[in-house]
Amino acid sequence: MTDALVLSAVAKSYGATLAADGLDLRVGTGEVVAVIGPSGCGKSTLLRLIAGLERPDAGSITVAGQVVADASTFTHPERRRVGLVFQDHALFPHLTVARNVGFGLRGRARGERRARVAELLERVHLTQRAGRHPHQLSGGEQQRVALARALAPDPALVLFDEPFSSLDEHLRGRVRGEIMGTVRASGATAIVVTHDQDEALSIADRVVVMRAGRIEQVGSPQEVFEAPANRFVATFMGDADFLPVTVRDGVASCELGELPTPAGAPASQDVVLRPHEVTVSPGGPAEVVGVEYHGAFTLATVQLASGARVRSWLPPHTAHRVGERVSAGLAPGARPVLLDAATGD
Amino acid sequence: MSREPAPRGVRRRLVGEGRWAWSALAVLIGVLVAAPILAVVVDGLVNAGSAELPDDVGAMTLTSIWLLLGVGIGTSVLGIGLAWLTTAFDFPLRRLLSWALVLPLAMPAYILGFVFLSTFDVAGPVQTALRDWFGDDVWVPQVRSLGGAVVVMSLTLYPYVYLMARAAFTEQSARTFDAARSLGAGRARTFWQVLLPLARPSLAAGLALVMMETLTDFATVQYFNVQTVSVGVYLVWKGSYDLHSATQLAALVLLFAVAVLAGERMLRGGARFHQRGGSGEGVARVPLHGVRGWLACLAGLVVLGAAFVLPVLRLATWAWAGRDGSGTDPLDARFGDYIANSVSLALVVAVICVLLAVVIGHAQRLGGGALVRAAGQATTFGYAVPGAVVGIGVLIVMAWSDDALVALGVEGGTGLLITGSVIGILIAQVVRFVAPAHQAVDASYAKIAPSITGSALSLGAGPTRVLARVHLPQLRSGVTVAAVLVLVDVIKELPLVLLLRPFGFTTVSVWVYQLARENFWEKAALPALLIVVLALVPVFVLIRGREVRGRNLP
Repeated sequence: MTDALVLSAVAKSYGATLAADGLDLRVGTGEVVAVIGPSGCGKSTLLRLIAGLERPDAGSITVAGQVVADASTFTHPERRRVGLVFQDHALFPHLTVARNVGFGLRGRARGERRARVAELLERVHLTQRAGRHPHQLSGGEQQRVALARALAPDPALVLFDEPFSSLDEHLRGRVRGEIMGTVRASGATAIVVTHDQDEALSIADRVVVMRAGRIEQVGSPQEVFEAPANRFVATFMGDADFLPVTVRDGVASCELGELPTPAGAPASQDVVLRPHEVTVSPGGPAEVVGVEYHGAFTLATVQLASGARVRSWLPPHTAHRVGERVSAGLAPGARPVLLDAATGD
Repeated sequence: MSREPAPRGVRRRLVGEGRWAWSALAVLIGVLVAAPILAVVVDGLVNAGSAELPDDVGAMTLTSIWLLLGVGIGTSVLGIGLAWLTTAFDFPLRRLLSWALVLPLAMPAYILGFVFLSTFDVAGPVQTALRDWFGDDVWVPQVRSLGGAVVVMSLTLYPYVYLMARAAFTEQSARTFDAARSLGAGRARTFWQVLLPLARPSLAAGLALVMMETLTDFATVQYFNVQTVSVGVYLVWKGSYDLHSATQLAALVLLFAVAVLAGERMLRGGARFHQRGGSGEGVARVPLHGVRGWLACLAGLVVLGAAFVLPVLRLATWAWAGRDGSGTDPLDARFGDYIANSVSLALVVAVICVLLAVVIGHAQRLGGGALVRAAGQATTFGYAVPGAVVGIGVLIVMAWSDDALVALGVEGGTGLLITGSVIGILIAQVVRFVAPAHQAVDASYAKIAPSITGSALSLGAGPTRVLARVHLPQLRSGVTVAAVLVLVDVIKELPLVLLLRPFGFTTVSVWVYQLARENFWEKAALPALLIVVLALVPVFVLIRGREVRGRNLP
């Protein structure tokens, strides 16, 4: 089966800013890929390049086995089989819901078109709203119309540009579930740009972490969270503290004690510690310097004897006060990752 | 982790991502609109020194400078003063006055000019009354003079400054004002030292508009026997049909325009703070009680009365009194012809301007790149440059294309005798008024999110279908505003038509001017009223809260 999307060495710059700096990526058919990175990392440019709204300076883009952009060809967006769902939904305000969904079906027989529109409205549970105008719909409903519209022409690939960030927080989870459920059910290949780590980890088969126009890591949600490729990915995908690692007799250890992780090269390495991998117990050489109550847990910041700080998620009902002497250790079963200290920042 | 970006030649994106056909069309429009102005520069430079100039060109230059200075001071005093009065104080009729003071925008100077003369000149009611009271040797200032022209033009042009100043004063947050006052500055000192300097960029823009309008005029000033450089252009062309000499003078007018723009830049300085978008509540208004309140009210009423209400009443009286045959018979066949001329000219120009504006807007939306953006900018030249320059420029371009066609073997060239054809007026009007159309359409385009365009394209609609099915339905209000603005502007426009009209072609505005110059006030009243009423339409559009139709000076 051909890949839905292949990027190879795609580059794009705006003046002196490199928004895409030699991007390589393969997306399989039916896969859902999340692209995440800080603002200005080039993730939106990536979408625009795939959609054909921007022309790459170099490299090639292949959609469903067809080269849509390289040094000699450029296919305009209307001739690519790529659907787009924007943050602001971008519904056509002067057209009804049904006409919005049917917009991309030009050239098909009228009956076929009507059937397809009905099918998609059914799929996003908006059959009742077919005759409404976009401004008469709620945010979540608009989002579903945008999805139905993008899916209608049966694109090889649907691109989502921060699709849920315009929704209220309490709505977001539900709409996200509905939308991604529909995407999965229709077997569509999707690329979702987001700046929300939880979102990326929860919806995607694979996560692409970008920074400054480059891809820092591509992997399953577990991989990018549990085995970050570098300090940037580690800190970007969740809270992380770093402690220097010493290796003696083949055993790696850090200030919290021996590490279960096999030590790699003897070069200087850091261990990545996530708050759930650190425990705190009363009495010891460390001191609690900060306590934040988060409801389900409490986040404590602990200053170790060396002066380094680590964070720890305390279970409910374990109270430590600022200034208290404690000792910090590694949670049972934790297998923190080692990184070359030189990589990352 | 900082990796060096791979050394890669950054491609210059002159042409951008857009569609070449649309981009090329937009660039072509930009070039055509800018061509007349460039033509004046080129021809002016090529023939510098060789063309014959009128002897009194030095005096004309001086007169122009004095007129600009006088009108600049007059509009500043009226505009800033009234804006401060209506934003910082509360007094009887303030709300009414604050919008009504914009109405004089609808009163063309060439109309207010003759009403003013008919009232204050030797034979007018004011001087007659003075002579009755004080005897025949009572001294009155000469009305047909530079001073008279300054008064009339200040009264018709001050709304530009007033609008800009008002916007600037209300944009600034009350907190700026409060902060200054809490630091011990009095109200007056705060005005001079904080508010006025903050408003300076806006005021500079308003004043630049005033100066451009002043430079454009060569009709009104002729009532007052004031010979500016623009008048010189008109007289030289109409007197001798010597295009090179007229161009030399037009280039001089262009120099004035450039000086005005440079002055605006200087006054504005690096300052961009007027765009900071303050919270908009303006300063807290201080109520003026008793006599002071009524004095403030009176000040507003006097200006409004002198610039708009009284002249309109006077015109209405004349039009009414003219029923017996001394005035224009509304059913007069000539009146009908002239209205038909004005309206058909205006319709054609409006349609062309809106079409051009939509093409440029669409090309920009499709991602035209720097070249298309420049083309969009170029369309504003015609509006920013005095009418005499545009008019002469169009003549040069037409002469060139005639020469080119003859050289190519086409007998008689375009057949458009440059000494006059309606085509010339048409082109000149399009060049002049495509800018307001562009701005109105552009403002509408700005309200269509780029994601809408992106979505439509990705759903398989080509650029033309996107324009027809997605953009145009959403541009309707912008297109309507653009068409209305251009329609009224064309009907009001006088200098360009005067300069370029073929023998026998008369519009309503030209007719008013001719009648007024021959002191047929009663006859001129009805067509003049018609123009004022039409010109009120865009003023009401503006008052209704749309943005100040800024002449976006490049």
